[in-house]
Amino acid sequence: MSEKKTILLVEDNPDDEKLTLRALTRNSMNQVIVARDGVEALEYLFCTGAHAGRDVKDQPTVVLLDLKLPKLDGLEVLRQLRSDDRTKRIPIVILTSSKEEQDLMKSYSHGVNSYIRKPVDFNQFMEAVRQLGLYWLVLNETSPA
Amino acid sequence: MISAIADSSEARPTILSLERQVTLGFAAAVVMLLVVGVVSYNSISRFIVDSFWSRHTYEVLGAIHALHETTLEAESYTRAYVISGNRHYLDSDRATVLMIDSRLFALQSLTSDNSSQARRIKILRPLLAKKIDVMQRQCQLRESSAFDLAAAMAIAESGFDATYQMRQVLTDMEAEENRLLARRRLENENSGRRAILFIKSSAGLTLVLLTIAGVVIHRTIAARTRSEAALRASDTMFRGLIEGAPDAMVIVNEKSGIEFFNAQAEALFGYTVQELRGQPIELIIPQRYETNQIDQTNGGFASMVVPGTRVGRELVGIRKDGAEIPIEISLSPIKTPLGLRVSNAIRDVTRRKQEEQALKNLNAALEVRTAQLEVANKELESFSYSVSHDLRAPLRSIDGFSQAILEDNAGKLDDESEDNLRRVRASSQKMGHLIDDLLNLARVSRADMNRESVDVSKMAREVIDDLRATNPDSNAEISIADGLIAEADPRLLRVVLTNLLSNAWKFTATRPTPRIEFGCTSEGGETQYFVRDNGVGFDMTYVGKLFGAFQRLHAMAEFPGTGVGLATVQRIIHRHGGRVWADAELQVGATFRFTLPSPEQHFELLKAA
Repeated sequence: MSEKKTILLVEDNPDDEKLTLRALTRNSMNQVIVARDGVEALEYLFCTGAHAGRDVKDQPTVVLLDLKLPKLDGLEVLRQLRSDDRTKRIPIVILTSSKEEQDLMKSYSHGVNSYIRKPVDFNQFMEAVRQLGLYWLVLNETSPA
Repeated sequence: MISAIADSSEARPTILSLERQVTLGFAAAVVMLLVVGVVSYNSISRFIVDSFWSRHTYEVLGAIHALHETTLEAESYTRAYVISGNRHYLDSDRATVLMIDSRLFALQSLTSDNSSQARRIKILRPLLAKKIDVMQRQCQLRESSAFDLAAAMAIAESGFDATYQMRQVLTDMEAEENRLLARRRLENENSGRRAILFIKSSAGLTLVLLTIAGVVIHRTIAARTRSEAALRASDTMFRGLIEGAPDAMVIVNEKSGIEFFNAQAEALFGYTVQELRGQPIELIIPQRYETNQIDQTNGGFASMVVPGTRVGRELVGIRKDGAEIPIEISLSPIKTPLGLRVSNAIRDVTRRKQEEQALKNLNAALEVRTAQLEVANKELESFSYSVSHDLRAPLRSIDGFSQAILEDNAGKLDDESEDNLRRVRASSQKMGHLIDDLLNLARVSRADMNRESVDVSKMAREVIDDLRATNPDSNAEISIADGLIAEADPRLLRVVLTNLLSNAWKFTATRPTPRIEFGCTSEGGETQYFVRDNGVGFDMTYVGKLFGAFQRLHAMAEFPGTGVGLATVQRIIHRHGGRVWADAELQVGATFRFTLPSPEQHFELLKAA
């Protein structure tokens, strides 16, 4: 595990990406990796494709995963991560616009660690991301690899 | 003929027994007559025989007298000759003496059956011989010499003894015959009396028997007449019943030949009774046995008839004009004295078939409609899913980047621009709430209803606790009735309570002592829940707009809100089959009432509608 804590943000909407990054980087100097669809996210985490050279042991501290994604949606990404020994212990937080019951139920069934709905109010959004960073990067102890 | 079935099982044994009685009575009478005949014949034969023996006895008596008289005659001729010497007397004497022998022989043959008389005859014979000898000697004496009285007397005297003895024997024989005659007469009288008595009594007995037979026959005929009347009545009732039956009725015999056909059957099949009597049932119901899966070669009919009634077999009937009609047939076996019969109740089910078809079509249409509705529902679902995801994202961008500009240019923007940017942010946030409320409204409309028993009082308290948590400074006075239980979907009911109670909370917030009350009343057997507050109330003029979506009765600046909450409440209450209404007075307060009928009441309401 590296010294510097890494966050993987899986987000296809550039606006949301920018706003999230703004919120994340305001509070700390953590490294944020951005994947723009489900396939890219899996390639990064399983070190395949464009990320073939990456060390699979060097995994992010937390994954912020949107549900509505091109190519492979967030729930499928979650399912694949949870069914692989190398990734099943990585904390995953769903960060999405949806508050639909079915999304919540499916996410928890697939073993998500947390589910956050993005508030429209940017101040609330900033606050949510701040708390998220504080919790997962500072307070939470991750599983030893 | 058919109607005899009705009570035959009961009437038959009685008739048989009556017939047997009559037969037995006649047999007894015949036997009695035979016995009387035989016994009478015997009695009369006996009487005739007895009469014969009486006559015989008279003959014997006659013979005895004849012998005696002939002997006396011979003596008198002898005496006359001896005295007169006239030869004429001598000739008569000799002829008479010859007759004595024949008289004796006649007597002997008449009495040969009687041993005691035969013995007397034996004694008689030498006595007569002696007397004849005496008479001959007297005659010889007279022939040889002149009349000599002394000598004649001497000869005559020698015969006195024999004469006496002869008379004695003849008297004995006479007595014997008289005794026999008396006995036989008595016997004859007795047997005659017996015969008459017997004939009399048998005649009486026969008369009695004939009377009894007559009475029995009369009673039998009366019983038969009565049972025939009963049969006719039963036949009339049977026909009335059959002809009055709504169904076509056909009765067939063991060879499935038609025996009975009612008017409805005539109407249904277009045949008359005359045309069909004796015809096979297959003429009008062709596939009856095939579909019945009965082996026709092996007495199919009998095997078809199982106890009880076979109900509702659907077959096809053929009318006289060849048209096919769908029918429903019920078979029931009838055991009759003439053998097994089967009654067929046949119903024309053309209309029912049409109705069934119509119902099927309707169901098919309904299924299509349901499928369409399901598709529409799915579309609506994915629509609200998209709304939830995609409509909110741009709003977040608008709000987020406006804030970014404000932050990044703090102090560089003039007041006007800052205010405008804040308005942009406020609008986007408001739209976010609107979207959320609309999604909620859509969700309560399509969410599955799961009614269960809900502790409404407890739920209201939880909602109030949440409100207190967000507004810890409130001094609101809350009163919640205890023990309110309703049959409702708990999640949807919570939405109702949340909306109504937070409204009350919101509209009493400006009051010095806010008061909110939750409870229920019973109006005409109907439970009405209410939320009452002493808030600002509203003008009842606009009560019609109260539950419409996006309808607001207060200025946004005064009381924030999207105007969707009460629409959501109404949607949920309606889905429970209940009603919701309100009354209020400006600056005094408002009361919202709603009902939650039980599922059964809900169903009744739907039916009434």
